[in-house]
Amino acid sequence: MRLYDEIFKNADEFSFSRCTVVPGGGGYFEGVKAVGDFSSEKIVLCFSRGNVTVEGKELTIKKYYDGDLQLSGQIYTLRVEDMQTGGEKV
Amino acid sequence: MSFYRQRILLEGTMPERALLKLRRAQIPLFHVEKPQKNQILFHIMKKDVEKVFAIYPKMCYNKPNHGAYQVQDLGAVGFGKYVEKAKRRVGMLLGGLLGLCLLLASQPLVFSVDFVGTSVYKREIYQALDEAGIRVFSPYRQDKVDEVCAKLLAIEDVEFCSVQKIGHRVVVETRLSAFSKMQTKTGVMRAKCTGKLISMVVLRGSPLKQIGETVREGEPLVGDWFSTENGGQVRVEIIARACIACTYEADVEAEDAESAFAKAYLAVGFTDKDEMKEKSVEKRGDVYRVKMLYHTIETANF
Repeated sequence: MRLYDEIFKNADEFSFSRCTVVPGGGGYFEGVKAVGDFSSEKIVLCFSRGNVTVEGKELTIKKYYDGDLQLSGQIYTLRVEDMQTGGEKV
Repeated sequence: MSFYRQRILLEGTMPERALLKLRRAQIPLFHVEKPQKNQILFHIMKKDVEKVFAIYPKMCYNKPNHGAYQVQDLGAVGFGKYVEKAKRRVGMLLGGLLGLCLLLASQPLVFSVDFVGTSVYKREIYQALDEAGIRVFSPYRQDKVDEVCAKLLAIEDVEFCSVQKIGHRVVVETRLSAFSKMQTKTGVMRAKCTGKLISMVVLRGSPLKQIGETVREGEPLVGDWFSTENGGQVRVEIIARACIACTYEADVEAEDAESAFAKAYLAVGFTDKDEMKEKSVEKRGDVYRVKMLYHTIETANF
């Protein structure tokens, strides 16, 4: 993960968490504090500095342990809500 | 290790929130699904089951109220499910294993001998197998198959032999020759009985008696050779036929005349080829005096 370390070193905005989305194959999220909402179409993941809303199809949590969450299913959109700035990025 | 995972159903209002407590307790969750609005289904390691029930104590006995969750253990998943089932059916499993062991142990045993082709030489086949140590309820010996076949092929008519084990059966296949070899008689041709030589045909060999000559039982009629011009002899297989007029006269102990004749027939070895010319029986005290005049045919490779 040295590549990600390099990428995120100066990116304070995203330093609270890391998200990796595999097209058509789910995604991997680090630093997940809690699961806010959960259904097969939508999952809200709570991080220390904001929430991430994942929308897709047949979404299931494949593994959730120690802040790491592996998601399976097809992810269509990923929306980040920054609680500090109140902004939203898609 | 996905072998020992348990399936847990968590029920209550906003069940996602219950996951937070499990995360804080460092319990890894797998395959989290939400089948219903108030239900979450997930897998956890078997060792963490107690932790889950410690976090939500006795909730499985009470209906969930506001803020309370009901946890239900739905049993093992994956390989663990079979382990759990096996634990419940130890006796059956042991019985099955024992049966399997018996089956494997009995694999080399022979339970029956079957014949394919001809079973004319059944007795000889059984004897050959027995001598090779291949018996019913004894182990099959592949190394003795050639020995068995050699013995069976030594029988004159047997042309093909195959011994193989199919399951617990030994299948012996024997085929007889379509053309049997002609049995040839060797040596000189001798008279079967004492009498007068009536006729003789010699196709190969040397006649030693003349027609009308009296011959004794066992006396040579045709020699198995022919003479060459330079005085030598060449051995041959005789082809000849002779007819001798024989007389039989003897006292026979019997209950009646018929029985006396029957005993006399047996004594002279009367065959279908022989022709009865005259016969008489006379009772003399306790015995019957039987007289027979018959023509007997003697052949050699004819």
